[in-house]
Amino acid sequence: MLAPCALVAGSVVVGGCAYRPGSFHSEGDWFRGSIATVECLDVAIERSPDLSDGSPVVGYTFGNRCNQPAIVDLSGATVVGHADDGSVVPLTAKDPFGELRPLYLDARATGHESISYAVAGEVTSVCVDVNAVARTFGNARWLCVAGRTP
Amino acid sequence: MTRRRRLARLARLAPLPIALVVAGGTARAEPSCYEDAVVGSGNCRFGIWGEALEAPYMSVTIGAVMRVLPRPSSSGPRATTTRATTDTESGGIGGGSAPTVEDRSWAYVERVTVAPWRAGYFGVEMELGVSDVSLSDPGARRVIAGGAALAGLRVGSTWLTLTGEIAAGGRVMEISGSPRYDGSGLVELRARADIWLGPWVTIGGMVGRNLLQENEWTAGIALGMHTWSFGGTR
Repeated sequence: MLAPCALVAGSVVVGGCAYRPGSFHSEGDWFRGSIATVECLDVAIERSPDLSDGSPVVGYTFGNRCNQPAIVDLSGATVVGHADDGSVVPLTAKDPFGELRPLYLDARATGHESISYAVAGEVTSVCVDVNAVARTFGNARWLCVAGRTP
Repeated sequence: MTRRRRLARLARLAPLPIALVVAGGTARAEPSCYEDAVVGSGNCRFGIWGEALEAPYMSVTIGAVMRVLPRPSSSGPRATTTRATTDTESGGIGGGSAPTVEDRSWAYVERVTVAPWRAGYFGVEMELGVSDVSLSDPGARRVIAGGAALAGLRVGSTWLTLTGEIAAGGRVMEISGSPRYDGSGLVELRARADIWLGPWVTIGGMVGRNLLQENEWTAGIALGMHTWSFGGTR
């Protein structure tokens, strides 16, 4: 059966289809990896191939479940890595041009970013506090993805 | 980035570049930061998904309007392509009033609006006549082209937006007789209702009345594309 918005050809052509809450899927963005729902945001994170210098890369995909804008704060998200010896190391986003900042995601819209992190040594897994991504402060809610190297 | 992904993203973001182009803006061409383009790599730009809400809300609307133009009383017999009605308000049955002769003029309309704040907006519109009114009848008129500036107030939800607006401008009309063309002013009060087909697309209707011309009114339908979902009126 066609999606409701697909029934309106003009909408598909000029306006696109809205993100359906909980679907973790849209025409333009693939929600891959670990997924979570935090208030208005459906969030997925995946480990992309590390950069040539060994920096881990995390792909973020997010969809707005609500009918009002929702904030997405990738600059303020707490990200940590787990080393082979079991130690936890904080990861800092690489942002040479100072682009990272909180932005509002429009209602029923989706987005994606890939961010690399500076770390001393190698990490086997990366964990992100998705509550901080949605600025839902309180207890951290960790979403983790395993290592992936080129 | 796959071709399918690029096309899907382009389709969803279509209203924004349309509005930007119309408004005279320019958009940078860098793609969003996907797995093959990491933030800071110089191959992409962070935050494309959030840029629509950083700019003022804009909408582009295309549609058709029908204008009912009362013909001047000295214009002679009514034409076969126009409609005659009895003016019951001034004369009624047996009142002896003359029939009101009207010409119906159709036009294609395009409008662009910008909302500096949530409830109010400004904009411009242009119309091009597509009327088939026969101009063989003395005094018959049709709109050739027109333009107006407009301002309005709106309230809405995720399924319906109601608007009241005023438009002021001018138009060029073709007339059966001499002179062949004439210009006239337009100050129109309008009421609009738009239904949201999706977060960024509406279809709606409007009715209006020209304050400068007695018994002249208009009605139309339009398809709208919006840079903010649901017009930001939630």
